[in-house]
Amino acid sequence: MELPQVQYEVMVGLSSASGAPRLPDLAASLKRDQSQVSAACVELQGLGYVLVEEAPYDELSLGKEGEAYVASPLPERIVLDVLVAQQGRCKVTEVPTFCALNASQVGQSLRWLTQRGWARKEGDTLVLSDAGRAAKGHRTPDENLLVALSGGKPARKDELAARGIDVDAAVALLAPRKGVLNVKPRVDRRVVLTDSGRKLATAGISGRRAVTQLTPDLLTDGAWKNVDLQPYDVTLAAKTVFPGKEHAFQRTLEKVRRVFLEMGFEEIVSPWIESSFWDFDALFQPQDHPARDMQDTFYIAKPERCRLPDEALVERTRRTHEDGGDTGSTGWRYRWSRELAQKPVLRTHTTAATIRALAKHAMPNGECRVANNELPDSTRDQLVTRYSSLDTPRQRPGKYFVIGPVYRRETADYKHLPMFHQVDGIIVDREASLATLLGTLSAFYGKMGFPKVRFRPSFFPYTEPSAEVFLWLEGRQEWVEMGGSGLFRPEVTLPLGITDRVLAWGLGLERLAMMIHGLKSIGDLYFATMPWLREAPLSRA
Amino acid sequence: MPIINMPIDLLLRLVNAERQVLDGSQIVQTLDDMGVETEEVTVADVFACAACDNVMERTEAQGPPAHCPKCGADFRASPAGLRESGKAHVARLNMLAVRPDIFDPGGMARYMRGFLGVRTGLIEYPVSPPRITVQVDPRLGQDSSYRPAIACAVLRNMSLDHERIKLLMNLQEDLHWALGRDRKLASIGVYDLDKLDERGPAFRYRAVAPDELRFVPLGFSPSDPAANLTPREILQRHKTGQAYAHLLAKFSAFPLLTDGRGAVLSMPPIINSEATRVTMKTRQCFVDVTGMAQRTVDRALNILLSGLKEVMPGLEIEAVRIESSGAAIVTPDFRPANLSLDVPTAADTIGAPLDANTLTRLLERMGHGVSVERLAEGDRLRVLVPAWRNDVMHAIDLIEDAAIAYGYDNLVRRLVPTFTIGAPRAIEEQSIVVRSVFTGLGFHQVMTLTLTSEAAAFDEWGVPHDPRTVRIENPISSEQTICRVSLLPGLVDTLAINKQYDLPQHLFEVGDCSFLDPEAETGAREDRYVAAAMIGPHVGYADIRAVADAFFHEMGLNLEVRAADVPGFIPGRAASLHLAGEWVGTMGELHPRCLEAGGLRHAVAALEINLAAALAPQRV
Repeated sequence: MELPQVQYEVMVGLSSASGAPRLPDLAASLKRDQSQVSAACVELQGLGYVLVEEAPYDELSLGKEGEAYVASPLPERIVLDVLVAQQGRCKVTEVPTFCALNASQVGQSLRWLTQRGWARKEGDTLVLSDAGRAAKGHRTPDENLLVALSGGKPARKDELAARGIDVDAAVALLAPRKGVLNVKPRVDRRVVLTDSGRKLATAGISGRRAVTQLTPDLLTDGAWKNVDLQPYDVTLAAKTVFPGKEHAFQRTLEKVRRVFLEMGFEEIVSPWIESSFWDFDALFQPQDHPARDMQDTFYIAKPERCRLPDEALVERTRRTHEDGGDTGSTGWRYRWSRELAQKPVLRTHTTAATIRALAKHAMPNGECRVANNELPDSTRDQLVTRYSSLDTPRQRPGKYFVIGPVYRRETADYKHLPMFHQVDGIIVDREASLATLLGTLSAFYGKMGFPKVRFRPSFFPYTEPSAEVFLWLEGRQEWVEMGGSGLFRPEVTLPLGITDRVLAWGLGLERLAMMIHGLKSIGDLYFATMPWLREAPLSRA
Repeated sequence: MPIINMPIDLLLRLVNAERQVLDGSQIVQTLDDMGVETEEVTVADVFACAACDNVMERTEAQGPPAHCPKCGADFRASPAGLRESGKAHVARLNMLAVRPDIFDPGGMARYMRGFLGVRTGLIEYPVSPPRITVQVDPRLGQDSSYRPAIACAVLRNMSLDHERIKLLMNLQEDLHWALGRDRKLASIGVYDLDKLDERGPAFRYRAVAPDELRFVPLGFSPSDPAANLTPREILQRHKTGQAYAHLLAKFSAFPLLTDGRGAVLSMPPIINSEATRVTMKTRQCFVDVTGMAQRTVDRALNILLSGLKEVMPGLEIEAVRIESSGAAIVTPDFRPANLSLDVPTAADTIGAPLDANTLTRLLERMGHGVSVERLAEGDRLRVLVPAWRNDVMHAIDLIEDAAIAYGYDNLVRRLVPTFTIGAPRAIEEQSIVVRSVFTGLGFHQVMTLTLTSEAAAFDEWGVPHDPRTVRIENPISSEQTICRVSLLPGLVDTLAINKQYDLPQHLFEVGDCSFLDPEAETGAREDRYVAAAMIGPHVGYADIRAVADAFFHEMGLNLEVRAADVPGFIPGRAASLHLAGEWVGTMGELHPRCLEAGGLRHAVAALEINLAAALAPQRV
């Protein structure tokens, strides 16, 4: 009959063994791990081929104090020797002068001298008894046990008894002494062939094949039952593999996007190649503003020019720049040029998208380009008053956000590239205020995992009041600037026909992603190495 | 934004002049609350130019100056021209161009005293009536010349020392930058009045021909006959002349400021004369600001004078009469601007419960003069805005001032209560599915720059230039001259920088490409694309075909593959991808020429799909 390899080896081993070998001895003779052999024995016992006999026994070993009594005799033995040498009598206080014991040790020994009947106390004098005389030169059972256990090796009680030691008496004597003797109950397992086992072994058995790879062959006809699947060292390191991954920065962008969607914002988009009108003019950035210099902004050679939105809006924008128009502002006091407004640029901020969304939002039918559409109530006083007061009819509220690349004419270094990403958002709402701006951005960064947000007064040409946004980095113990925010100036909103206040922000995303993913250089995002693409953990976003 | 070295000891002395309100340890936080960013607090070395006495502060990291920004002396060529003159304890402030009135210790101290409540409300500086007149040549307003605007003042009872000369020069430089756009819109000159004839005929601001006369420019020796130069020669030979020659390049007549006897003060906006140079012995000065617009030169003059007056309380400011084509004005003009502020609007905009009285106190701390008008429709404030503020255009600017005084940290952060429903864009949601298909296939996403060059996008690939390419007019690098029209070159570049790592490598990118589009308002548009590339010893057409099939299957689209000659791919191993007959992409094995360009040593199979076309609404 075919048996699993280890069971087979156990059967063979038992057939040739005399009597019932102990399990550890059997495992040693088979050169197998005891747990393997034990498992095989249990299996075989279940089949009725072997019997595992369990015999409880006590295992004795010395405690910490016990080892000390092996090194030098028990104190009562030392006092006994002194009494014998002193002709059977000695003052208790004088005993230390004749041996290595001190007064307190002598005192402790008195209990054992009397208990063993080796001496008695008469006043301040110890007097040797006959039993004491007889004990001279003869080891007691407890002394024998101490010697037998010396060296720290545990021993079985039955084996000690077999060596002639009165173990029970010894244990009784040593038990009251603290920390001298340990007695542990153990079970001895011995294995023996049953009759049917012996018959099976005689009839002939064989072992099973050990197998590494589980194959279709083994699985199709149940052959796997007759093979041993070889165990492995499961603690060994395996080959490193990684799942296909979204780019770490993409994951951060996606999280930003999700957070704004969760907060009830509508996602918008705008062209990367943008007219100066929407990138600057609609945002009340004067045409000679340094940000519009060829030094800082990428201008586009092809296409050569953009179309402007409807004439009425262009005209209101022109007047707002030149003298404030109907917005209550002084304006920038210069001559505004259509041609400059038509020049295409690579958008310098995603605010170009939110201002477009705002223009569209203002139109009753949501259409951005409405030809020659004069604003209702567009006299200066009325507009200014409407902007000022909460009593005016409320406009449709709106919340918009955009995520996308923006471009600045910067020389590449570890912090800068000519392209980076921003998230811009706006809230058009009658109840928009600086306080709700700070609240909205705190909520956003809170959801991104940055609970501490600070704001500092700042200046941007198209917002007022304005605030720079800072995050507290626990790891670096410092505030890090994230971007700008504010309320769109009336010079921005009124020409579009928006009389409600508008919260706006533009926040950099590369720096945020570099913080989240632990990168030192912005180039690590755009010129990525395979190890980083593969290893950057998905749990970080 | 420029970094300005603010001398801390002087600032504290000025702020605490009336009573102790600020110590050095609070300075950074206070500046921060006021909206001023402190880069660092440090000790700077002070240097002086031997030629013109200009004083320069440099931190250790900056090192000594290479040349004098004032007279152009080259310290590298002649190190003896640079003197070390001590150390200064400075706060390096990152200043916003809109607040030049706080660039100097005087103006900053005025702002801080108000903010801290020591001296609030509108500050007024006394101005004595004019004794000197400047006549403006009408030719300066013509196209052949320029720089028609001028504002002047006289400073009497001055006492100058090193520190004050340094302040004066720093303020001048900072105003040149902030208001003057590097002297283009405004430039400032300061002259020793005792070297001029103030009792004679009127001073003249004239237009002169480039070689009409000669004078010795600042920094040149009067004893050197060769130093007596015409305006044209100054632009050619003097360092500062060369640096700013472009400002006069288009004109046939140059601006020149002289006294009534013809002694030259300066050639704006280039350089002063050596003869009128200000030294520590100077007791009275003539000051001019010239520029393109009266508003700008007035502001610059106001800022300069008010800042100096704060530092030198004994200074006497005297007006100057400017006559131009019969009309006359008197400068400096310290009259405040008058604005009206609606109280409820301010409170609602800030989002804090502010009444007229509270707002008044807040605005007074920001240096404004305020009076309350109780009207039937609500309280209004009449606000007098100091004439040195260049950033107040609208009542909204006063609201920000009030918010700063209130303290951004003191605002209770809230959310707008309006309910809105979030709405994603379809292409972004579709892109999530696209990315999950490719990551599911074991690909790693890359993100590459959207700017590239014709060389990288076309020439190195041996593909014809795409006529729909958007081109940058002023690229900053030869590597970024156009907007990408394909994602494939970026993917191959990424493979190229990863040559040393394990193969195979499977990469993809989802992103936009830009194309000229005459229909579009801006003349161009972006389309969403996906591209994928596989490199490895056993990679071939079949691998990318399998990926394409899997992709279109997952997107629920019926792909039609047609053999095609695609530039950049091996002939006979390339295909075009079609949906219902319409082209949506290409795939195949890349041509060895493209691999060579990136130094790649294994076959690359790649695909690119126009998602805007493939996932158009009529299909999905």
